[in-house]
Amino acid sequence: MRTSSQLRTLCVAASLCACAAAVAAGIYDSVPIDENEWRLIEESKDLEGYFNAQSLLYKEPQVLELVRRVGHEIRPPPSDDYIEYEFFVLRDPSPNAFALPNGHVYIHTGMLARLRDEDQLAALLAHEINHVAGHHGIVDHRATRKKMIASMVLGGLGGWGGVISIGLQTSVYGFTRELEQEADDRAATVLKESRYDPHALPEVFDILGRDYEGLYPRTPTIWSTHPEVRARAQTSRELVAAMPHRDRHVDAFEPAVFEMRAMTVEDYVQDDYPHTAVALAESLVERYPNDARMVALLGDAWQGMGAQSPIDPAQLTNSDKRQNLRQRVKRTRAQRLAELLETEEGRAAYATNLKHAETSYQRALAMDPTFVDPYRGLGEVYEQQERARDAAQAYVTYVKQAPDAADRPIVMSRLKVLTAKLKGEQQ
Amino acid sequence: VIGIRTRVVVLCAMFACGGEALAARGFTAEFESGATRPKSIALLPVEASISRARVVETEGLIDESVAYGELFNVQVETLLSGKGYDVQVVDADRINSDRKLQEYVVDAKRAYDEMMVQYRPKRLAKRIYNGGDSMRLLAAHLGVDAVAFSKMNLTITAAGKAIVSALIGGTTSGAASQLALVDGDTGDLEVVQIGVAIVTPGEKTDQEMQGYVAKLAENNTKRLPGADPSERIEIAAGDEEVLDDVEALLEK
Repeated sequence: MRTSSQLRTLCVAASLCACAAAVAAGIYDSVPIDENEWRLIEESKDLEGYFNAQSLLYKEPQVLELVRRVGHEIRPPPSDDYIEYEFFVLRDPSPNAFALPNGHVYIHTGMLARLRDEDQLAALLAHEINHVAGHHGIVDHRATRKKMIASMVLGGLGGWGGVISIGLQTSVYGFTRELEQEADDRAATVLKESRYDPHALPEVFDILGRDYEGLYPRTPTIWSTHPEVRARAQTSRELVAAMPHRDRHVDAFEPAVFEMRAMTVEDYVQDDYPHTAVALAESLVERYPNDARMVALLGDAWQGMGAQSPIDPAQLTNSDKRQNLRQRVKRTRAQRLAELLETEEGRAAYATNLKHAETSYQRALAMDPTFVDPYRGLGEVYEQQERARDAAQAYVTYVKQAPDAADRPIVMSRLKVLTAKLKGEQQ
Repeated sequence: VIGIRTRVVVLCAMFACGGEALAARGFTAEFESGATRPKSIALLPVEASISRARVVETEGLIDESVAYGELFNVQVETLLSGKGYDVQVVDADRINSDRKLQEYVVDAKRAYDEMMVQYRPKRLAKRIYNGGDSMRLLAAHLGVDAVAFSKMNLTITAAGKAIVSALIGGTTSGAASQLALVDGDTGDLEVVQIGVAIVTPGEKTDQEMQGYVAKLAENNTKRLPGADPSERIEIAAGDEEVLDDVEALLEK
C-alpha cells in the first residue's frame, strides 16, 4: 500500500517534472477554445490579408527566408489545431514585433534593422513564439472580456490598431507584465536548448532600451516603453547568467538584412527621427567603412538632423519627452527648423550638421567617384548653406550622370529655382 | 439641472460644429483658383476600419474592411471622374507586384500619416503641410498630378450595446471618412474632406453597408470643384532647356 502510494507519488512527481520541463522548453498543453475565441483566430488569419491590402508585407526573399528559417527552427510543435506558426515581416520602421494567437508572428523592419546577428533574432522570436505557445492571446482575451473598462482604455489606439479586436490589440501592443515575463523566461530556456546564444536575450532589450530621440512613445508598445525594457534587460541578464555562451551566427544574417538596414535608415531620415538615423548609419559605417553607399547614407542622416543638437535621452525626464512629443505633434518639421534657427544654438547645430553631411558625401565620392548619389546630397547641403552656384553644379553633375534617376523631376525643379536665383545674382 | 457629462458632450459638439464650419471648404485657395488643381489623380487603397461593437468587446471586421474599402475607392473614382478628373485606382495587387511602387506607397503613406497628426483644418490655407519627396516620387512614378489618400471608419453596434453606450458611454455606431489630395509636383497638402454618415444601431445588410459607403464617398467629394486643366500652373519645364540655362550660368 505504502509502496503503491509512493509509486503513485513518484509517478505524479515525474509527470509534473516532465510537464514543467516541457513548458520550460516552450511546449505547452492544449487549450480548447470556445466559439467566441475562434473569432480571434479567424481575425488573426484575416490580418495577413489586411496587411497585404495595405501593402505592408515586406517580401524581400532573403529577409523572409532568414526570419522563417530561424522561427521554424526554434518553435515548438503546435499544441492545438488552431495554431499554425508562420513568420512575416512588416514594412514599418518602428521597433516592434508581435505574435497573434493563431501562431502568426510579425516583426517590423525597424526591429530587424537594429539586431546584430541571428542569435538576437532568435531571442526576439523565442519571446514572441512563447506568447503563442503559452496561449497568451487567449488568456488575455478571457481576462479582458471580464473587464469592460479595457475596451475604453484600448479603444483609442490609432493606425491600423483600430481594425482589430481588443483581444488582438493586447497581442500587438503588449500583454500584462506577468505574461511578458513568462515569455522572457521561456525564451531563455528555448535559446538554451537551441544552437543559439541565450545571452542574446538581454542584448535585445539593451538595443531596444536605447531611446535616441528623447520622445515619449506616441503608441507605447511592449518594445518601446523604455524603463520596462531596461528592467527586463536586467532580469533576463540574471536569468541567462549561468547559461553557456555560444558562438554567434552572423554570416547568413548580415548579407540578408544589409539592404533592409539601409532602407530603414532612409525611413528614419524621412520620418524625422534623425538621431536614430545617425546612430544606425554610424553603426553601419563602422561595420562597412569602405562602402561608399553607407557613408553617403550617414550624410543623409546628418542632413536630416537639421538644426537639432545631439541629445542625451538619459538626462531627459518623462515630462521633457512628453513636451518633445507635443512639439512634434503641434508643429511641422519646417516650423520646428525655423524656430531652432532663431536661436544661436540652433544656428550653430545647423552649420555643424551640414558640415558633417558634406564631409560624409565628399568621403563617399572619394571612395567611389562613379557613385552619383552623393552629388544630390551635396546639392541639398549647398542649397541649405545658400551656396547656389555649388548646389547647381552638384545637381547638374547628378542629373547628367544619372539621367534615369527616379528623383530626376525633383532635382530638375530645384535646378529651375537655382537658375532663377543665379540669374538674379548676375543681374 | 444639466449634469457635468451632458455639459461636456454639448461643449464637444459645439467645438466639433465650429471646427466643421471653419473647415467647410477643406481646400487651399490655390486649389480653389485652379492653380494647383490636378488634372490626374491616383487613388491609393483606402485605410478602412470596420468594427462591430458588442456590449463587452469590439470585433474587428477585417475582411469587410478590405472589401468595403475597395468599394469606397470605386465610388470615389466614379464621383471624381464625373467631375472631369482623370482618375486611376492604384489597387493592392498593382502595388504589391511592383517593388518600387510598394516602397513609394508605403513611404508616402507614412509621410501622410505624420502630416495628418499635425494637421489642423484652420491652418490648411497657410500651406504649411508638405509630405516631402516621398509624395513627389510616388506621383512621378504613377505619372499623376496628385495623390489621394483616404481613411474610412465604420462602427456597427448591437442594439444592446447602443443602450449601454447611451447610459454609461462607450462606442456608438457611426461612419466617418477622410479624403485628402496631395500635389504631386510640390508635395503640398491641397485638400482634406471629411465625410460622415449616420448609422443606426443593429446588424446591417450588405445593401445597407454599401449605402453607407456610397454616402461617405459622396460627402467626401461633393464640395470639390470640377477639374479645370487650363488653370493649373505647370511646374515641370523641359529638362534640356533648364540644363542649358544653368550650365550657361555656371560657365560665366
